[in-house]
Amino acid sequence: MTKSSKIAITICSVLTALAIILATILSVSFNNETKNYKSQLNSVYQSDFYTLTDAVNNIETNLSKTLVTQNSNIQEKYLTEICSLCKIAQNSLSSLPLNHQSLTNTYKFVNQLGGYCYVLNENILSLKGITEDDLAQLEKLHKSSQQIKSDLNDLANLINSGYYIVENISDPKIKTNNFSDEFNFMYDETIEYPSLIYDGPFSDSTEHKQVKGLSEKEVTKTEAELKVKQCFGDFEINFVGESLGGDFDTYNFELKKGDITGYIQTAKRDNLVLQFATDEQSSSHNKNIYECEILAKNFLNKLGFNNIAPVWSTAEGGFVYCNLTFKTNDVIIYPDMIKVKISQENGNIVGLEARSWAFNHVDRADLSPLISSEQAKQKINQKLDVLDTNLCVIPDEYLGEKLAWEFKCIYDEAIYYDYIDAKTGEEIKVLKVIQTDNGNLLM
Amino acid sequence: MEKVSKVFYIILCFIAVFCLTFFAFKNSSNTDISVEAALTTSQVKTVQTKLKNWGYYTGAVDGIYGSKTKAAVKNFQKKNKLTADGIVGPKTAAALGMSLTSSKSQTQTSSDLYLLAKCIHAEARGEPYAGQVAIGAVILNRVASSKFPNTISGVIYQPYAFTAVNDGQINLEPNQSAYNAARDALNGWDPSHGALYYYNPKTATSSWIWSRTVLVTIGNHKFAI
Repeated sequence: MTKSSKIAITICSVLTALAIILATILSVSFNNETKNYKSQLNSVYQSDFYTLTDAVNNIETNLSKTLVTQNSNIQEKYLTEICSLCKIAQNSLSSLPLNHQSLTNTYKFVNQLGGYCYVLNENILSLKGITEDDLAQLEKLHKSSQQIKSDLNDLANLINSGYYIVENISDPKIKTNNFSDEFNFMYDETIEYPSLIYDGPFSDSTEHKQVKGLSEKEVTKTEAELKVKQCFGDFEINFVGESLGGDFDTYNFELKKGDITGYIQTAKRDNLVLQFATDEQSSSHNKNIYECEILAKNFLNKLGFNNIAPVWSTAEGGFVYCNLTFKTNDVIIYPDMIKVKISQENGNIVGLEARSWAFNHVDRADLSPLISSEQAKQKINQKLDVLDTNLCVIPDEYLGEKLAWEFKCIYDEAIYYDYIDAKTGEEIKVLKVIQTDNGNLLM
Repeated sequence: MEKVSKVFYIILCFIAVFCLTFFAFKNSSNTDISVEAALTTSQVKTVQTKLKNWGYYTGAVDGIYGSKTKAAVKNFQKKNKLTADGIVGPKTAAALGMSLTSSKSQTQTSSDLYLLAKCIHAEARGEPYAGQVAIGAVILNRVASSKFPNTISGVIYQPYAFTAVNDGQINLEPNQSAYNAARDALNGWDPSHGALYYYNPKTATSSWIWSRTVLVTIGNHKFAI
């Protein structure tokens, strides 16, 4: 062996040793980093879990106290507490790494309990009070919360004894998601979740809306196709299937014109064009909102919607979204809203949404106010400058409708819409116009 | 002499392996988010337009922060006595006369629209337009449903709810079509008719999802409640 090859071998050995040392150091630090991430994530999950457990424990306690007390002021305090605890529980639930199907019922329980307590609170505030039925319902809800509480506390004991959540989660497609399995008690039938119907958010009644605006008369696919061709003749139209079992049964078509594609759905009942939209782009603003409103109204007249007036429009991303609604004897019927989307570049109609119309459009028998607009005006805050007054029907928060006086007002450079019940004179709602980078919003 | 060059060759190989190992580890442990990526396409376009008008930039106004744009930014920074790093930070932006964030006045940014567009883009790009609007509508139907979280971000980031969130595709920048579909969904368009779930029958493995009632099929997706 020559001297130079000896040197080379030595250099090689040293380099190999160095490479191995470096790789080891890096892999150790990499492992440490992964461990740190895991531990941080585990802390987040644990915090969510304990927050959830705490919230459920307190929900149970507050429910039991509500059932015991006779004083409605105290009941109101406990119910308010339950509402905010439900929000906390809901937030923690949505952050935990659990399969959706094991959670469906729990979500529903927490959301509905919050919504129900909110409504009971409103009833106390409006002096309607809590009825015997409500108390019976609360009793049932309390039983369910007791069961959830006890199961969650068992799980808390498991976690206290060193159960590491991050080590026990895996891809939901692999069936052994242990942490989700631990939560299966919420999914199985050991917990009884009462069905809740009330006039408030997340009530079972709001999940099944009734279609009031369409007759029972159904049309054939050929009739539907004919109507689509009449209204959208400049498009190539292809039937792509039906929607069944949702709110509306529809015939569905695909639209094509050059590069532009889109869809249209017509209700089988009454052959009503329920929805249409295309992916046409719009990059300039040649048409203003007012011009677009006229185009929208003409388009709706062509489709057979009459006595329609634009009520609210907003420009976003090169399009104007026009909200038009039915108007009869100068009364604006807001529930019968139809939305039309127009390109500001060329004034093309690029979308229509008429489901609210199909849900709500009926002949309203009683449109006469019991109080005059002058009387109603006395009810609004005198700081507001009134710009416009209208009689209108507005959707009541949960499924009903109300006849109301609408006052468009200005205060501190912002526009507000204030609504006064035209039968009782009660102020029912305030909307504010909020400017966003995507157009104006009514909130 | 031959042996010596062989030795050098071996040494070179080692150095190469050495470097590769080092960089492999470095890259796997650091997710590098470049500052350029923090600018939106339209902000990059604004930068390019301004630099072009002032003669610093000669390329196309395409919204891509390429080497030409970077060089132009550096030139601009040198002329304006800023640190010539080619990065449009707050100072350079101010010198360019543009703002990187929206003003804190009456207007508010709509992160809902952005989030919705991101999810639509990640889950349904390449699907028919109706399919894209329908994905947006499913998210909003979930927000309204008692069985899901009550905010758009809560629904989108609910663990295991969307594969695009699990595999990181949610972070792709949405295209115009996704934005339009998101706007339509926010304005009430819903070709899914109230669906809460959707799946691709070619890839869905969960037996649970197959048990849901299908309302409509659009493109590759079945929409169900």
